[in-house]
Amino acid sequence: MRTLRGYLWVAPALVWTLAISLGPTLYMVVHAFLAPRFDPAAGRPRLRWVGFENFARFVADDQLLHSVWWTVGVACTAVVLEVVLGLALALAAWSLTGRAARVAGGLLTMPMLMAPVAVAYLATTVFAQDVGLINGSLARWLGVPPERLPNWRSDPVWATVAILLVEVWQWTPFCFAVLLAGLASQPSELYEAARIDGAAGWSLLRHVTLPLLRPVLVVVVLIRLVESLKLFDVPYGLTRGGPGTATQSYSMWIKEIGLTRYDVGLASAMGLLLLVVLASSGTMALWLSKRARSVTQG
Amino acid sequence: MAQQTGSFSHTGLTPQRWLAAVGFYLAVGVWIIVPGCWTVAQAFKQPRDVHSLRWIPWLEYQPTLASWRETLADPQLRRTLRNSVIVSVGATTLALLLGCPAAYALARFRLRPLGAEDTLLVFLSQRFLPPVVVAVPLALMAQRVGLYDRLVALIVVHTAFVLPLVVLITRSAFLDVPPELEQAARLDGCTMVGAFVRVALPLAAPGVAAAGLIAFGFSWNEFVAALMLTQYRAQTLPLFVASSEDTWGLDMGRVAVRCLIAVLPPLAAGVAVQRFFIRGLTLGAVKG
Repeated sequence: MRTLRGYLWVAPALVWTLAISLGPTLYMVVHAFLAPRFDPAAGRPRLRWVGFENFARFVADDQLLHSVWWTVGVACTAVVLEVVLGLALALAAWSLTGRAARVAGGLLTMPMLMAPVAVAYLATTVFAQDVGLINGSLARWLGVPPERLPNWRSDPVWATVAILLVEVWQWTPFCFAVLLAGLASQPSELYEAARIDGAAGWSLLRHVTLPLLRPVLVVVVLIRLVESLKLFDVPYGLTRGGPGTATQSYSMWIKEIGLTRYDVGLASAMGLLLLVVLASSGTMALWLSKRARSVTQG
Repeated sequence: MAQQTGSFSHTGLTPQRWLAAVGFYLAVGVWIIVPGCWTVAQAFKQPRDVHSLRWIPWLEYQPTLASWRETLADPQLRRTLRNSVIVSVGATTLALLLGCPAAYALARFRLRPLGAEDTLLVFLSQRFLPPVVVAVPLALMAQRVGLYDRLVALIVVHTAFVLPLVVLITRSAFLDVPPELEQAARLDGCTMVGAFVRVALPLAAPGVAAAGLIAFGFSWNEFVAALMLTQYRAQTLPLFVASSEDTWGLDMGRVAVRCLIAVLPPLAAGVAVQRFFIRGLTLGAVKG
């Protein structure tokens, strides 16, 4: 009786969440193996089971494969930069005390509260060719001639760098905030003991701080990796996938194939692949976060 | 921000601390202050000053409200702003109404066969679903049943998107309330629902409010589902911000104004509840 009543409290929220997530997911899983085929009896195309044909079409498409490597490359580079910079900033902030440091830390966490698409759109004014903040400053302060200024818009490499910079700008603060919270929850007795043993500076960092921080670091990396692989808003707002389709992310392709070309089979196959990758890394993150919770809050 | 007990904090002003302080404040300056000032300055410039690196108002350029006036008079901005408010407030309200009882049950009751921790994991795992995977089928279904480009559809979807965060944050708020108070209320004749509404909920109010503000910010910033489920009538503010004509190097004043309008509400909400925000984003791994 008691357990049943407990579920009554949970059920509305659980049903709502699962209806919106599981319903569409099942739709995708099924449609990944379906494709329209002409049915002579009915005189019109009908959905038929086609096995792995949609997946085969995906693997045969060079543009789509390019977007896979591009997205994975951007995501991994972004995560490494975010975590390294975030850790450096968190260690610096951790050694500071007082009001100024707290205010500065608060300011630093502001980017992650902003809509990514607004940040990307704003970045178009920073990366604009002749008049943007970056190229304008390069020309004015460093005297870079116009023909040698980075071409943020029409060069695929520089466009990718711009997207990467926006991603890193927005999410390093997240790594900073989480790692700082992790540092602050470390037991101070260990530091007293290590100091008595003569540890200081780098050896303290290497042998006490970082090992203690490891569970938090692992969770941060996994969460950021999962989020980065979903990359959509920033390329959409900043480059629209251009020049050409050079910076069109994997998620942007799914949207275009599914809702512009209405090739639901191919879009579903691609969605299913993304889901499998994210679900496996996500499960790992959840499992590790459960462990980290017992470390940081125990 | 959490209390800081640094590894160097007992040793006075060592060279490392100087280096850390200089590096940290310099980083904050480059990271936040420079782009922030640039954006605000752009929003108050006249069109002829927008394409120049002028920073100091009155000395280097004559500030004006022209971009603001123009943007705020745009009917599509007003429509999308109103839609964003309706969707975010609607989704937040629904998520709190559904999420608080669930979180309370997960904090207090013994659930079987799936325990409270595992039920929580079911909620949390939703955060890993890529929004496109959910939104493309939802858009196809919505088009079929006539919910495409309707605010209702967006509210329903956003509610599901923010529910996991609401459950996670309010559950830890309920866990911080001592259960003895509710037991006393039950002994005095309160029903279970009464104990929840009259005792637990008021005591957990700060956590519930924080969850609400975070849910509001998430819904406000959400882009992928809003892009696929709306076309014109039900567009939200992030879509308006992104949908505009080609702007590279053009009309930078209006770009800045639009982005400031889109970015300010969640900033205001988020600064108030930072530590809860961290807890939510790390799936509860870090308390913040």
